[in-house]
Amino acid sequence: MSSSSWTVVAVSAVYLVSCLALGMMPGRKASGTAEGYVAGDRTLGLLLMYFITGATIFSAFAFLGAPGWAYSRGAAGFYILGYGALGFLPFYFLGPRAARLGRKYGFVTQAEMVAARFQLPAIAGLMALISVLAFVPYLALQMKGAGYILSVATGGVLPEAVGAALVYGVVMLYVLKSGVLGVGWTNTFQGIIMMILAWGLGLYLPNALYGGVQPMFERIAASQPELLLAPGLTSAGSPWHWGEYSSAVVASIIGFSVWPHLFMKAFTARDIRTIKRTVVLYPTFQIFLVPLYLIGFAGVFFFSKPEAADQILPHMLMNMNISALIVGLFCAGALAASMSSGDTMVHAAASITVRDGLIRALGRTLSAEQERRLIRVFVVLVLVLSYAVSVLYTGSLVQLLLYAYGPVVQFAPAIVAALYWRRATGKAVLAALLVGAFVNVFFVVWPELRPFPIHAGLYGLAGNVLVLIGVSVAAPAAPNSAGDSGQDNAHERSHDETFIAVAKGDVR
Amino acid sequence: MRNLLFTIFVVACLGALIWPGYDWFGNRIEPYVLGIPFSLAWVVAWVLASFVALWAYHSTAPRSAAEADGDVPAGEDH
Repeated sequence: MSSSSWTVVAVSAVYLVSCLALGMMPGRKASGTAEGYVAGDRTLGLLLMYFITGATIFSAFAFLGAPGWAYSRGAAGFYILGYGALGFLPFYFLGPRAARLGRKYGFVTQAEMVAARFQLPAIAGLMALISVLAFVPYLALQMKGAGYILSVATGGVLPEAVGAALVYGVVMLYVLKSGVLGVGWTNTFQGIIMMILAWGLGLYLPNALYGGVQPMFERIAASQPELLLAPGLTSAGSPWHWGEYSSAVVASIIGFSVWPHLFMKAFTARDIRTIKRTVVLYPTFQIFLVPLYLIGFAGVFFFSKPEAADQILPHMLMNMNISALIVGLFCAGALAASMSSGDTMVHAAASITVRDGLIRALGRTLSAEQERRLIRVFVVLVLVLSYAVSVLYTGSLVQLLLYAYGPVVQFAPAIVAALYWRRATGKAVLAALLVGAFVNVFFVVWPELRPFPIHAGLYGLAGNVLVLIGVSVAAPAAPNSAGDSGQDNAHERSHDETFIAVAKGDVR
Repeated sequence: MRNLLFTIFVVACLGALIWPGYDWFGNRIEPYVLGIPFSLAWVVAWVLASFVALWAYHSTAPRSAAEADGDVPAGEDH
């Protein structure tokens, strides 16, 4: 390893240690209950909310995947910015409703909420399963990103798999130690570093390599204009399909708000005003994707090629005469990006598995201390599973995220129905989730069977919505219909009505 | 009225970001805007527009509803 490599690694290491220190500090203050560990005692204010939410954009996906796509697939990568315009909007309406319910009934996860509305614990179990299906590729993406960074930074001395294991060892330590508040403060710190880095490098690289941003684009336009026109290219270099581009935008908009770890913010926010303001401010974070595209495009005429397109950014940095300190800071920032998204997700995945899967669906009764301990066990299990996927998968980071959105969008109809639609029934929601998840998986495995080149998750979603509406409407609303006594049905109707009234804020 | 305007914006925004709106109106390289190709500037502009629209929608929310939630402290101009 060269001396500059050593500096890079040293800077990154110092950074990781500071994250660890910051991440562990607030843990002592959260109360010892599972609610304290998972929901941060419902006290996250606007600043924390803003950065936790913002840092989810600055995942390894943004730092490596966005430049990687701009570099190899051109305008195809613009879909990420495009969906950000409306991506968080549904939460403006869903979030406050969920928050009111959370305050009254003590919900911590979205599956708990949906299952309570329909009084069907199996829904929570199924949603937990689908969540894990979505979290694993997302986490694998973050790990792969971390591995890329360390492997390029050390000139290949640390292979990808070892790098990923190292970084996620750190994540595991601080998530185990302090739960969501630690996650919050770490992200505030990281969010700021990432913004500075993104803009600094995004303006520096085009200037250093092409003499400016516009000269760079003019040069690309002269020889490869297809890179600058939507829908861009496929990974093989042929034109991408508008259906794929558009449906990637739509699936991401529908799915983004109902990502379990983001939806949980409705329950952790201090008040409803904080939730709404976070949604309003959200597009401001998206603008930080612009410098990341600039970085990716700067790689188009770079004299050498990285092993994987997603490595273009670190690859350029290591092969230019850039101060090792800056490169080290970048590597740290990208690692931070990977970690700050990874920690939130692993934390959410584990608590969802325990609370929704084991407690809600399987009816296990656990003491607060047992629950806390089990969540920690699942933190480790989820990390190990994701690590296995990250080592085995060889495609692009963005593609992994698109896979993750397939299962996630299936939550949207269930959540909207739970919060808005009185007639929806538990059986319909359960069937709809099953159909949606199945159709999605089917078309992910056999993409060539799709009638149109559209995101597999949207086929699932179509089936999902049809089943949800069809089965709900088909269920007779009259008493004695399902063999229940009239009194029971009257009771259930009033439960649904009360639930929605609480969500609306009419009843508290 | 407020809801209608906002809905119109959301539909227009979505239409502008995917096919066919993006392809018809935003999908060209020139003119460059602040050095970036029009196709990228187009998407950036809609993200900014979305922020402005959301902010306008949020800040014109009926006071009574917000106060009922206890989310707007009395006296704060919102």
